[in-house]
Amino acid sequence: MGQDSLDNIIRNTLSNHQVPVDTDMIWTGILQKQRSKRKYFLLYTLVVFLLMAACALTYKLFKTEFNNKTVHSPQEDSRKPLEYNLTTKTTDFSTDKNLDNVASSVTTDNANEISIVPDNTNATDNPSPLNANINKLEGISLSKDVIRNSNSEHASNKISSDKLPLTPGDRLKSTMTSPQGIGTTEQSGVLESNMFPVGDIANNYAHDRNTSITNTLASRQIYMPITDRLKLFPGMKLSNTNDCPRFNKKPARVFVEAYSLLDYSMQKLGSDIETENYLSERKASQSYRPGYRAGVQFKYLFNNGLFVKSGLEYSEAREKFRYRKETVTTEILPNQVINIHIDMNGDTTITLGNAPVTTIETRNWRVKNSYKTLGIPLSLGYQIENRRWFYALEAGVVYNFMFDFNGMLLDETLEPVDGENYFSNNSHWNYNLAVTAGYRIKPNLSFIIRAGYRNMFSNINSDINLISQRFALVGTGIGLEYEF
Amino acid sequence: MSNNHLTTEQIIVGCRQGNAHCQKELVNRYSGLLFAVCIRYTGNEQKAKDILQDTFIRIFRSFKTFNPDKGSLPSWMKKIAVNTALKDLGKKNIQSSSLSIEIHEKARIEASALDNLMAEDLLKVIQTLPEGYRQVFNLSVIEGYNHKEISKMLGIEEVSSRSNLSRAKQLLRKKLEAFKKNESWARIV
Repeated sequence: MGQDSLDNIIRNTLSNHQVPVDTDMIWTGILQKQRSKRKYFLLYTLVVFLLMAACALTYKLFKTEFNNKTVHSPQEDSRKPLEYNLTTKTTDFSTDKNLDNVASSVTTDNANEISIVPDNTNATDNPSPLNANINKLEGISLSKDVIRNSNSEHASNKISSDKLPLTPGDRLKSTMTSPQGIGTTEQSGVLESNMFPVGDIANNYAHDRNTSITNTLASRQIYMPITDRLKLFPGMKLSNTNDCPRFNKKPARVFVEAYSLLDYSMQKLGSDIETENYLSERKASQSYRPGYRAGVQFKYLFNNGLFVKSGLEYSEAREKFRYRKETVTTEILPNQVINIHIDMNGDTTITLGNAPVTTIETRNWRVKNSYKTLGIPLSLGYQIENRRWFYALEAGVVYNFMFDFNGMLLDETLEPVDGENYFSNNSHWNYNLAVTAGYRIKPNLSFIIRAGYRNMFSNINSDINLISQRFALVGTGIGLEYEF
Repeated sequence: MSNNHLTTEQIIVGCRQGNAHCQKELVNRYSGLLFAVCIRYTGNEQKAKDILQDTFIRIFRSFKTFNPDKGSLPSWMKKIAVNTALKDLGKKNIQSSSLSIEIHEKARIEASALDNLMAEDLLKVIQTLPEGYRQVFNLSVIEGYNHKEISKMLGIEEVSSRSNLSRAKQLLRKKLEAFKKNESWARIV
């Protein structure tokens, strides 16, 4: 028989061949899958929305942090404790020219500073020579009548809380008095909208009316919560502005990390007494294979070392399914040799007849099962840093919004079946513990090593599965962490 | 009106409008045909049912793209079934390739000849082919795709498609000859 004719036979036989199938069952399955797909679509939409919201918030915080960083070198390292510096400058106001110089120095020496326009009229009215101590608050300094120089070398600046908060357009004034009390000079200006939110800083003092800030407070450290830093004036632009504060507060930091862990999965199978035999068969048919976890998470590290983390985590627990089944059947078949007789002459007589024939059918199944989950972890942790190294301990929950089983398992009649229907596709909750060590390989990039444990709160099996099943993952792995 | 009285055209129009009755009638009429396709590619009845459901979902979703001038409804649906099966098999390739079912039987005699081969027997023999051979054989011999199309569909080289088909045919021929000689299933399989 030629190959072409064989092809034709096969094509003609099979091209329109139909195999009977229970159409009601297929239709029911289609409806269920459509519902399930719709549910997943909604979940995916929700997750995407949450991620976008998280990214937008992170970007907003990051941008604010970035813009708030001063260009002055001492301030660039935001991890240093920030200081509120109060400096004293002595200037000779003997001439108008000198007064101009003062103004110039105020506005150009420190771009951070609120502009002070010297009032030349007042200056010329002042007797000369005039030696004045000008107290200058670097960075932020003025509020309505806030700065008042006293007539002593130990000048003080007072912030009147009843004048606060300031708003753009407010006129600012600084009064300078000579040490000898000969005369005073006023400086004034308008708070512009691109200046630092003086009100916020000043609000820090609002609780303490008439707080005096003197030279002796030069090294006073002031920390400001991040929420306060976000209280910006409407429309205020921070770009090109060295926001005031030389009070340096430790800002919160935002990281993104990508990691992968090699997992050992520990199956927990349980059953009632009635299904004990089934349970032992199930256990015997399933054995361990390495699985893995991988994820991307955002970490928000507060300045006290605590952090919050969330993102997406994919995990795949694996196992081998091995099962061997022998089926013995006996049937009566005709024309079987039932007797062989050799007589005295050496002649052989073979008797044929109906005889039982035993058939032994052996089947071996070797399948790689996998349990795939996609979840949203949310962890709280604490981190300590030591030069380039950091160590973190975290704990939290993982919400698995997707679960998928691929493979085979034994049904209650000990027949291997596709196990997809044996597991619930509903969401599962897990708890999660992890220890991380990291090494900063670049200023913004760290290499991390992690050991983690994850366990399920609830069973993953559906109602048709007679035994309860859940699994825990223990793993170790590596990753990278990037600081924004 | 009973669904049995619906014409194919009415079913097409109804499915395009998302009518559930028409969709169910489509399932009733063509499940057998498409199930045969699925089972040829998967070699596993349970998996074939799963793929059949996915196939119908894809059919319902893409009914608006069906053009009766370019081909009949059954052939269009068969193409979708083939693509769905290939996609699923490609996705779970490791699992499928690791599945091995060995059947050893003693003294089971099948009285049949190649000329009298029933479709079910042919299906059984084809299902015993290794997965790579089986896919190329199905696509080439039964569906009538050429090697260029097969290489694109399976993501393999054209040369591999040709060699897989050649080996599949050799293997199938051996199995069928053994079958023709009334040899036991054990040797065939």
